[in-house]
Amino acid sequence: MSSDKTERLINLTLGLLSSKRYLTKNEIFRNVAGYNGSPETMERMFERDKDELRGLGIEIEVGQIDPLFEDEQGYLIRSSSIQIQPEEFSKEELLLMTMAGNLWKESALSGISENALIKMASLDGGIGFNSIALPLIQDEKFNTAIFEKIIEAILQNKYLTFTYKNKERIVAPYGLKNTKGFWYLIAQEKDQEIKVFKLIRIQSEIGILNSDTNFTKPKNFEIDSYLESVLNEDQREAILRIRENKVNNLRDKGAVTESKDGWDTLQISFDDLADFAKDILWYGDDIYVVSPADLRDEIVKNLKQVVNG
Amino acid sequence: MVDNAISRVARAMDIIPYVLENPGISIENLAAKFGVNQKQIIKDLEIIFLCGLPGYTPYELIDLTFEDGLVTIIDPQLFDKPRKFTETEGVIITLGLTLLKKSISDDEQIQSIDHLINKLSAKFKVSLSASIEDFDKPVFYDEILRSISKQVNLIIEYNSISEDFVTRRTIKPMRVSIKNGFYYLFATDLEIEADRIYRIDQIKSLTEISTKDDVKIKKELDFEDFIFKLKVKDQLITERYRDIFIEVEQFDDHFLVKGRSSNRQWLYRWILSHCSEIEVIEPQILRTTVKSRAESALSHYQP
Repeated sequence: MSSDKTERLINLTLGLLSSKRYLTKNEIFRNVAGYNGSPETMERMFERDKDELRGLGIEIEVGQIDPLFEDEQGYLIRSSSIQIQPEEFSKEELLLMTMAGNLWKESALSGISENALIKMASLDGGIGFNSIALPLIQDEKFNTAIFEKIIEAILQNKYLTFTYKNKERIVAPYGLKNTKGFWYLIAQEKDQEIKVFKLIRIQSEIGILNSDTNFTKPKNFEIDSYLESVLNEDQREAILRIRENKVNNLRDKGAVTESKDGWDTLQISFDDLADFAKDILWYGDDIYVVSPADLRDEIVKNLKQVVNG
Repeated sequence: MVDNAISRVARAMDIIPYVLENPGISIENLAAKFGVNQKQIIKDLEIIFLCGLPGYTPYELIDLTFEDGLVTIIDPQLFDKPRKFTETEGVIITLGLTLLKKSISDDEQIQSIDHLINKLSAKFKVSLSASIEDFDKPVFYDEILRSISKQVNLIIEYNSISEDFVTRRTIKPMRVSIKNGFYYLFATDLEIEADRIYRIDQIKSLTEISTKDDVKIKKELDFEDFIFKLKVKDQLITERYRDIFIEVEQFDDHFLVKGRSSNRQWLYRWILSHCSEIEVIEPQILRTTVKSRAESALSHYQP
């Protein structure tokens, strides 16, 4: 049954692709293999087939067959709307795109990049190249269907629904950002401020809200500058004492004042208190916090917890 | 992905132009390429074999052979070109290009990439709403990529974060990756004859040496494997550290995790660093070492 359907969809695509003019439904039912049953059954089949093909990015063009009979519609598929045309990308462009696609080889999105690479390798005189000296992106694994849904919703200005921090959300998606190996969705819930959602924390399937209302993205909204402003808002300064020749990694990120008692002073900025506390704890007794007080308290609280078991 | 009629149609439309460009590809390779098993590929080919243009005479059918496990398309009918890129594919290629631009130094190529990014952003609108962190290229990044291409060995001064001091290593660089916002180098440490991963921003100096130079090879160090249990409440940790977690058992309010690491120094620091989320169950030595480190750190705060 389902291989019949596969065949019918392929035959329908080929049939509409091969026609130079719009075909009527009757012509389709008569000529394309796989349509049978009563006129109503075939009609229903055809409507479903059209939707399913659209889901694959195969747009069936609808047009009038005869200007005198406006209700008689016909259908065709243009190669340029569903297939990559030979002249669309130059050899150099394909090489660069192949290199770009290869960067994702070890990432959560490798399945998607692989599909794109297969298409590039299917173009006339495919490109072979040496990818050894290119960095590979490794990010946190998550369900890529989420990623595709978000892209679809952004494209169509549709609302998304999902569960996050145990709450049902309906959000207008504005953008996606990859930072430090994680993907984030920048989106706005109704009557609330724009927020950042971590993709791997989305607890449910993600859905596109099926309604006629589309959202309007705020004018001049730009993700990079938005995220920068969110991050800068939270930036704070800390003063730490660090043992000489130790804590090498943090030294490079702040300003060090050396002193003679074997302990240098490090002035450094941070945004997330809990995350920064982890960085400090990493260095054990080679480091301690002078200020701010809440960071100092956090460290002491954590250490006491370990000591008191 | 669930394999249904729709995904088979998509695959068929991708297989045909791919085989056309790669005639004589084996069913085994084709299955690997498309991420399905060989049986499925054969089934796909059998379906494709029955499809064609209206009329459906031998001249109008898609013509292919797959005898002896090798596939060749003789007549693809109108499936001679691949399907258009999906929006998601377009977006990640465009993002990949912005990263690629960071990795190369040739001005002319950078210009071509900029041009291509603009061209793709016009086709794939969501590219404009997606972005990938603009990493700062570490100081020795270009030198390292060059040494990989030239296949030369390196002597590096490296700040080991788990040991917290700078050591000298002789390495054979293999490849570079980006993870959690850092560039990493996979290399063989020639002195211990073992593969190691280095954070490129922690490389403090670098000297090329010819591969012919005699590298003194010491016997491989014994890296001790050890097993421990961790109590964690946050799923993010189990995702992030899945490389060292062997077994994760889920309870109402915590996970019980069995892990394994070959690097004790790293482990001590990691556990103390994550002490708000983790409690060591065993072995005892791990518990007591982390505890005494915590005591020592705590002494700074007590007059």
